[in-house]
Order: sequence, then C-alpha cells, then structure tokens
Amino acid sequence: MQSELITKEDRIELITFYIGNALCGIDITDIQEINKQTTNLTWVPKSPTYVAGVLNLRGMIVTVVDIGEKLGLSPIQPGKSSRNIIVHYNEELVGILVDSVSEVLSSDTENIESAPANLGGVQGDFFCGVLKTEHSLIGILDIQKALSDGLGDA
Amino acid sequence: MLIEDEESLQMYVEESLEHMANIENNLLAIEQGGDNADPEIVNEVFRAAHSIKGGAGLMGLHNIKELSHKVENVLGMVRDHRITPDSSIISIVLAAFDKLYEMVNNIKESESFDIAEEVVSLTGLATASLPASRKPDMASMVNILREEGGEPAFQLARFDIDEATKGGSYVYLVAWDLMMDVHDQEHSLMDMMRSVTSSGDILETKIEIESVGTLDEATPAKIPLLILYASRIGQDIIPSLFNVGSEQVRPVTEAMIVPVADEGAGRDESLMLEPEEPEPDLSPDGASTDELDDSGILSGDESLVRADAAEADEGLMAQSEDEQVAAELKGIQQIKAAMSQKTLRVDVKLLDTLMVLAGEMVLSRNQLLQSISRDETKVIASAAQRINMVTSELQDVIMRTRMQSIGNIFNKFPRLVRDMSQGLGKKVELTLEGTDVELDKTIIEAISEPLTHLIRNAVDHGIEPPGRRANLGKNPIGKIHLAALHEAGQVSIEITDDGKGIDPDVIVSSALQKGLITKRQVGGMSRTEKVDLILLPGFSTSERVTDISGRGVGMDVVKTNLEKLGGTMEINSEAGQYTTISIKLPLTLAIIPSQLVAVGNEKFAIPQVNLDELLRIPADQVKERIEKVGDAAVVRLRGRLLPLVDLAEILGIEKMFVHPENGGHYPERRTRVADRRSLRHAPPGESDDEPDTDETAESESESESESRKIAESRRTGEDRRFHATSAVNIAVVFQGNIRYGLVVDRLLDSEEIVVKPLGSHLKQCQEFTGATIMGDGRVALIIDVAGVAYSAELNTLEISEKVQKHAQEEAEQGGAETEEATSLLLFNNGPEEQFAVSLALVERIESIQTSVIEYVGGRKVMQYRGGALPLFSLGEIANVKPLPDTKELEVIVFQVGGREIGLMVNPPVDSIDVPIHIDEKALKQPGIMGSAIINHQTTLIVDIFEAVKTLYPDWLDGLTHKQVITGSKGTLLFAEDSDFFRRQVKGFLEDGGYRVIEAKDGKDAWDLLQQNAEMVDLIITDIEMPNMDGFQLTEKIKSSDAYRHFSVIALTSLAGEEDIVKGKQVGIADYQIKMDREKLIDSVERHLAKGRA
Repeated sequence: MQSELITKEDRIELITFYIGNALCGIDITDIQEINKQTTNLTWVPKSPTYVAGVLNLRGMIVTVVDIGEKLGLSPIQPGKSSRNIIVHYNEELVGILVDSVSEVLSSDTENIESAPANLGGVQGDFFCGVLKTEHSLIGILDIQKALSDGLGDA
Repeated sequence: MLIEDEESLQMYVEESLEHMANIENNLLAIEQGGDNADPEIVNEVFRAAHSIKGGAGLMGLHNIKELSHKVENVLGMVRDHRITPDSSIISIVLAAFDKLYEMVNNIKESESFDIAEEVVSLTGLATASLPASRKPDMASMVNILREEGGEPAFQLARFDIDEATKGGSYVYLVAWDLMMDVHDQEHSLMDMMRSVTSSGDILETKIEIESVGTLDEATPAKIPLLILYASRIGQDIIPSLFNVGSEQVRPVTEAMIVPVADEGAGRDESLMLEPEEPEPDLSPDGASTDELDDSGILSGDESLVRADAAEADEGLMAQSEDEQVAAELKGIQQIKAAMSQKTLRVDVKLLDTLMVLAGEMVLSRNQLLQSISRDETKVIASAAQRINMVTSELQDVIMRTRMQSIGNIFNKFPRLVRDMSQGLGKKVELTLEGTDVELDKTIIEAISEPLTHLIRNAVDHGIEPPGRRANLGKNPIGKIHLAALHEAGQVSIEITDDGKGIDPDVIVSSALQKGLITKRQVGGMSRTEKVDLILLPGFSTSERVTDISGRGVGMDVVKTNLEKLGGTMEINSEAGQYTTISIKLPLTLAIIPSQLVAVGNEKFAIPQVNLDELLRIPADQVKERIEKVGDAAVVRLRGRLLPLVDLAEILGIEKMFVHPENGGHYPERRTRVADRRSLRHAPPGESDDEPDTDETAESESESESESRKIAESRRTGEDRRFHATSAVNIAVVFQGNIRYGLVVDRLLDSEEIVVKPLGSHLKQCQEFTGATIMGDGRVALIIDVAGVAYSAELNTLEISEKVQKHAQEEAEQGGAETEEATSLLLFNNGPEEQFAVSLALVERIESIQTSVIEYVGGRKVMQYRGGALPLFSLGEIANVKPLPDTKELEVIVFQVGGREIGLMVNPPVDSIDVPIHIDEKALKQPGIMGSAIINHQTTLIVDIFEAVKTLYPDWLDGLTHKQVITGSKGTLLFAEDSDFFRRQVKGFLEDGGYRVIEAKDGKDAWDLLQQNAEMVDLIITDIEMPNMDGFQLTEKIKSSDAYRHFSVIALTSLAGEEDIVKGKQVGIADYQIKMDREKLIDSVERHLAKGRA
C-alpha cells in the first residue's frame, strides 16, 4: 500500500510542446485542456506584449499568453499546428500559446535534473527541471514562475 | 480540538453565527431598557450564549465554551434582575461577544485566542453582584470525581454547579461512546447534541484519551466521551435520552464534588481537610456551603480578580482616540468577515423555482436537439423562444438567490455609533429604516466600508457635543437616520444627521488654502459645487478637519469606491442644520446595462452609469463645434466646452473608416497615432485662418487623406470627407469629477452585459474594468471611464480651467452679437413633418421596438423599469399625419405632474441649439404652440403640457387651478424680449391664477415697476434682453431701497452654471427654465409665500 503511494509521487507525466525549436514540458496536472483557439482572440490594448489577447472559454474570460514572447524567445506563429494549452495559474485559467504540441511523456522524477542557469536562451528560473530523453532535452516549465511578471507586480 | 468532524464543525459555526447575528442590537436594546429591559430580548441573548456554550462544550472548544459560559452567567443575572445592565456592563458583554464572534469565525484557531481579559471582566461583573457570602464560589474550583472516592473527571467552578442545579436539576455524569453510541447508529453528533441540550445543560465534556485504542489499531473500537450533564429529568429516563445503557449514567452526588487541591497560592492547606458538607439534592441556594470558611480561603484571589476587572473596565471606558479608530477598524473587519461568508442561506422556495426552471431548460434542450436532427425549423424556433424565456427567468431567480438584506450591514451600525459616541462624549441616536431592502451580495460586501466611513463621519464631525447642541437650542441628543429604499431598479441609501452641516464658505476657504482651486474658480461656483469640493482628492487627507469643515475625511475615497460599484453620491447640507448624503446603487453588479461602441474592429462596452449622452456631430458642424484649447480638443455642447478623448489614440488602435462611396471598411492609413496630432508635419498650405482650432487632419498628407477625423470639414469643399460618414461620434461620459467626450468610430446598441473579471496579467490595463462575452461568443472589453481619463492625462481642474478661460475670452469677444439660443429636440412624426420640443422638458429618450407597446384600457403603454409608461403620438392630439407603421420608434419621455409620459416619434431625433422665432398664429392648434423655421424647414413646436392636459386632464388638476380667477393670487411683473416666450409664459402664469404685467425688456420693466410698485408682488425676468438685461435689472432693483424687497425669479433657456452664479450674486432668488411651467409656478408660489411671511 505504501509502495504504491511512493510510486505515484515519484512519477511525473508531462505534456511536451515546442516553442520555436525548443522542446518544453508542463506537468500534466497543471493543465486544464488543450485546444485550437489560437486565433480570433480579443486583443487587449495596452496589455503587456506577451499577452496575445483574451478568449471566451465556456463563459470564462481567459488571458492567453504568447509563451515564446514571455520567455524571450521568438513569438508564436499561429498556424495549423499551434495550440492553446489552458493551465491553472494561481486562482485563474491562463492560455499558453505554443507552436505545436508533441507527446505525453511519463518519467521517473529521478530522471529530472535541476535546470541550469540558462536553458536555450531562457532564464533557468522559469524551469523546475530538465528531463533528458534519448533524443532530446526537455525543459520542464514552472508555470507559476513562467507566467508571473517577474518584477513582482503580477 | 475535541472533534475534527468538518461537517459538525461547520454546522456549529453556522448556527453560532446565526445566534450572534442580532446580538449587538439586542444588547443595545437591553442597555437602553436598563432594569426594564424587555425580558424576551434578554432571554434571546441568554439563549444565544447558552447554545454557543453547549455546542462548544461538545466540540471541545474550551475557549469558546469558557467565554460563552461567563457571558451566560452575567446574562443570567441580568435576566434575574440581580444586576442592572448599564453601559459599562453591556460594553463588557459586547466585547465578549466580539471575541466569541472572532473565535467562531476562526474556529480552528479558537483555542489559541487570549480570552483572559474578557473572562476576568465578566467574572468581575458576576462576582460584584453576588451577595458577599456567595462571592468566593465564582472562583472556587471543585473536582467532580468519577465516582465517590474515585479519580477526578472534571474541574469546574463551584458556582457553575450551583447555577446548574438551581430549580431542582440533577447533575449526571454520562459516559458516551462516540463510536458505538453515535457513529454506529448513524447519528450526527450535532443532532444528538441538540436533542440532549433541549432537555438539559451540558456543563462539561471530555474525551477519555487513555481509553482510546492505540495507533496500531486500524480504527479505535471506542471513543468514550464523558459528559457532565445537568437536567431536571430523573435518573431513570436519562439513559434513553442519551441512548445509552443505564450503567453509563451516574448521578453526581455531593460526595463526588471535592475542592481542587493543587491550586491557589497561599491557600491554607489545613482547610482542605475539612469535610465537605453533604448536600444530597444540590439545592441551588448554596445555603449549605460553609460561608465563612470559603470566603476566608479565597478572599485574596477574589480581590485580585476584582482589581483586574476594575482595570479592564477603566480601559474600556477611557478609550483614547487611537483605540477608537482601532475599534472602528475592527468593526469594519467584522462586518467584512460577516459579509464574505462562503455559504449563503437561500429560501427553499427559490431553490424549488430553480429546479422547475432547470427542468424546463432540459425539456427545451431535448426539444431543440430533436428538432435540429430532424431539421424542423418551426419547432427549433419555438424551442429557442422557450429557452429564451427560461433563461431570463433563470437569470432573475439566480440573481434573487444572491440578494441579501441590507440589514446585514445596517445592524452593525448601532453598535458602532454607540461605541463611538461614548468615546467622543456625544449623545447620538441612530434610527434605521428599510433594513429589509435587498441587494446583491457583492454590493452589500462592497458598500460596508464606505457606509461605515460615512456613519463615522456623521458621528465624529457631524453631530456636535451635547453642550454645544444645547446652546444652539437643539436637542442634546443628536440624530442620525439611515434609510434604504428601492427606487426604479436602484437602491437608494440616505444618511442624514442633524448636526452642524457643511458651510460652503468654510469649505471654499479650506480648498483655497490647500491650493485645490483658484480664486477665479470660486467666482463661478454654485453652492452645491462648493460643498462638493470636499470630494476633491486631497481635500482632507492631510489632517483631520474637524475644526474647519466638520466633514471630509477621505470623502473622495468614499465617492470613488461607490462609483466603482456603479453608484452615485450626492451631498445636501444646510450649515448648522443637517447633512444628507444620498447614495444610489444598482441592485446587482453582475449584469449591467451598457452602451456598445466600436473603434476599428474592436468593440467596447461603456457602463450606462457612466454615460451621460451620445453625441453625433455632423460633418458640417465639426468645424464650429470642435476646437482646440491648448493641446486638448474640446467640443462645444450647449454652451459649455467639454474635453475630448480619442479612444483609438488612447488605446493605440488602428482606426477604421467607412469609405463614403463604396461603403467598405478600411483601416486608416496612418499607423502611428501620434502622427495625427503632430502639427509639425502639417503641410504649410493646410493651415488656414483658424490656427487655434488645429486638429488632427492637418497632419496628413493628401495621400493619407482617406480618413474621417475631427477637423476634416475644414478642408476644401470638394473633399469627399464632407460626406455624412465623417461625422464625429462622441459618448459623453463621467465618473466623479471627471466628465469628457469619448470619440469613437461607431456607436452601437445598448445591451445588458454580464461582467467578467480580467486575468492577473491584465492588471496594468487601467483602461478596462473587466470584460464581457458578446452574443457572437467574442470577448468585448469594458471601458473604465476614470482609467481612460487617467491615461489621457485629463486633469479635470486644469482642463476646466483652460476651458473656462477660453469660453470667457470668447464671450468677451463675441459678446453682444450672440443671440440667445434655445435648446430644442428635433424629431419627425410623419416623413415630412418636423417637430421640436424644448429640450429642458425632456427626461430622456428611449429607442423601442413597436412590439413592446401594449394596449391596455384603451391606452398605449409600455413596460418600463417595473412600471407602465403611458405612450401617445402627436396624431392623438393634433391634426398631423399619423405615425408611420415602423418597427422601431423613439420614445421621448417627459415628466408632467410628477408622472412620466412617453411621446412616440419617428427616428431619428436630434438636439440643436438655435435662436428661434416662433410664429404663434399661423399653425397654432391644440398641443402645438406655434411654428418656427429650423434648418430651412417649417417646424411645429409641441406644447407638452397642453398635450397632456388633453389626454389626461386629471394629471394637471393640482397645477392648473382652473377655478382660480385670473389675478387673484397676485400680480407679477414679467420682462421678456421674445414675443413668443412672453406670451407663452404669461399664458400659463395667468392659468395659474396670477395677473401679469408684461415688459419688453429690462428698461421697460424698470419703468413699469416704478409706475405699478404697489401692485407688483414678484418680478420674473429673462436674462438676455436688449437695452437692459436681467442682471442689470435685478441689480437696479436690489440697489434701490424702495424695491429691494421684491423677489426676482430669472427665466432662462437652459442656462449655464456661470449665469446662475452671476445671477445669485446680483440677487436673483431663483432660476427656472422658460418652458417648465410646473417648476416656475411652484417657484413663484414659494417666493410669494416667503415674501408674505
């Protein structure tokens, strides 16, 4: 009974996705849903540049963040493969625009290493760890940090 | 904590809060009643404390139990008339309830609260009132033994046992097994407790930790709970009451009660050996207790307790100012805590209705799904209609579940007022009215703070100390009246105090001192404006202004907070007499009426509460009506200049324009907004003869000219932007002291919108208060009128300063030649007939679908704001073409005889300011007072009073005084240069029973006055007149000893505020609008009565 509990906590499931060429992951428990609403957002004048707009998610107003822009990478190009990952952030839902969604990975937490100070040009603070697979290196985004304003005025 | 059962705990918390809900007011009532306090109320409070105690004992909440128990003791004494509930006692009890309240609200931390102070005060109270012989019982602790000679099970005060056994109760020890007796029988602990406490008292509870199974066991087989229970029920019935075996109940005999051995320093050891007197039936009078010995034992302890109590008393009474503030803050927090409960009580009937509606919704959905799959258009339509109806009803019912009575807040104020007035040494009586008025929960939560602030102001700064009041001949007890009532879909709250009021002059000098206004501005201020100065930010934040104005601690904050809720605030005060603050609030915030506008491709919503009017300036008027003052664009609106804010520019949106020829939508080519305003880029040839009215268009080069903007009309005649589409659309908005015109591309519908909050990433967007979802599923942002003004750096005072200066200069230049303009509302009835009515009489204009018109009792009405608005068309009263059969109509709403009536007309309606010359003869007929040429078209001027008189003769009964013989009520001298107005006004003055002497101008009036001075009772004058204007006339009258006593009423056609102020300065008693007959007659009557008095 006890061993089962431990296993659960020691495995992590990630949704992986691309921001430009960078492969990133988000803990699946942070995610509400993934949809294709990447265009036809309502632009909010005077909003921070990384805010792509707001959208109506079944009656809720969801802020959509261009995660590429937010992390200082290239902005997301809305297209056929781009997706909107709706995540739980503090008490609200926030959409994250990504260039494409890759796969769901399950991994032992043991395999996750702490993030270096800089990962592919992104500040290491935004990641809670790095997962090495056979082919690639996946930066696991710390949603709370990645979506915060960084300046303390979020 | 004893019991960690969330559900029971929650239930306990809810019940306790309910018990405490009205406790403050009850206590205050008891305080007022003193010895004659209503026993019913005392009992109610007693029962509340008792129930809280009972539950707490069972839940193992020792702190709460202890405190509520002490409160109960004191209340018991009040009930038995053993002590008189004076204000010092009530203060202590109130403080105790405060603590209890706090503890119940933080139930999980309740054990860590420090209740020593309250307990000591209460014990002191109870002890003080006891006969000397019984005093020691309060503090003397005894052990209740498990059995005679057994282990101690409980420790409690002797006094408590005596109290409990009063009136022949027995005390039992009951061993309850939480597992077997409660859990396994599927009883809830609270249920059990309730049944038990209904027939007795739980004095104390305790879990026998030792006998609970060890942690190794999966689930403990037994959780014994020991209960000390007092009841009149005999021993034979107790087991069945507790649902336990008789072996689990043991009556407590006196032998089981032994004094506590190891407590109390300096206690005489030898006394402990004295045997306890046996007391078989635990008789309540305590006569058997060894008085001498006991009092001897504890005299030291007791005096200690008393000293503490006295100290606590003193502390309470001598509250310093700081403590006062702290106490108020605490009060606010408490109110807030009470308000933001997570659970809500809802009428079961409402829930039933919701269920029915949900059922209907499901049925309609099924119908819809079926019909869609079968593609039956008709059925789909009917299903959609049903869903439409059900949804509206659902919305209504769900909203009602969120409604709470405003009493929730109001009832907190008597306490606040009492505590404050005691601290300030004032006597204040607070009366409440309309506590059952219901408001949305969120609004209730949000207004508690502003209201508290206002009440506090009224007590602190409004009401004078009793001494001063007595000197002034006022009742030494100040009165504050707090009233709430429903009013036309809004809730209005009024706070009135009969204190020293607000002296406008003091306010002005204070504002001048603080540099908030300039001397020149003061000259142009009305009385109300002066009083409103206290709402300026910075008016009173620096210091307490008690000695200066008596008001205004952060009033700007109060106002802003109320406005955030979509409310308004008005101050009305008479120095030395009263201050009334009127607040109007919407019933709910979740759904608000709003005006939709578009800029570029984006739609925005402007809350209706911030919207004054919508303005469309036709292309050919843009040149004369939109100007530049300094850097700011302003629009000329009814003689005043209003700053303009271009929404597209503020938000950085690409503007769209409609191509005048092909009707297509194109973006403006100028991508950078700043370019449009930069004068430096203006081609030199563009600047023309009016450099001060520079507007955006100059900056364009011809290649960019496919745009419509403000100054386009100044281009050459061939320019295609003279097309109607280049008109400027303006929404005139306001919030607080800020008022401006918001320039938008298009004005769309008005709609009820559901307000949704924006996410945390958009906090920096101060221009928006939230978002809403439109019918097409897209999101539209809601404009924050104050935020936009802030972004636009609209400084109200600065702008108005410039604007006023500009207006003044202009007046000086243009002065004499300007002809007096009348504000008229133009509209059509039939396609070719143009009509006009004086704008001053119009309440508002509604666009309606003809389908909403109902025919009831032979009259046309429409439902409006919960009532029926009677409608009529001109065809019903005058010989004009009938109203064409269209789907949409405009309804012009007038107020006549205190009632509203709507005139149905054909859209569009338009307002203009023109000088008019009315021909009263050519086209005169019932309901039509004459005709004039407006915009090169013959226009009939509607006489609303006559129209109403024809349709509803009874409405005007009180006003027309038909039976009154002309001239019987007095003689009026009336100066007016316009023949038309002179005849009109004279007509209804004569209708009103007055004799009228006509004068053609001021000079004529002066001459006539000299000739007929004995006859004239009152003078009415127009302002703008040749030879001698109204101001000069008044000045002349007022400076002459012979005529100074005459009241002068001025008539204007919608005067500017400056005029009114100027008029007051020269001595004009009142201002009335020319065509508003009711108000004029009313004013005449008032002033005549005043003159005679």
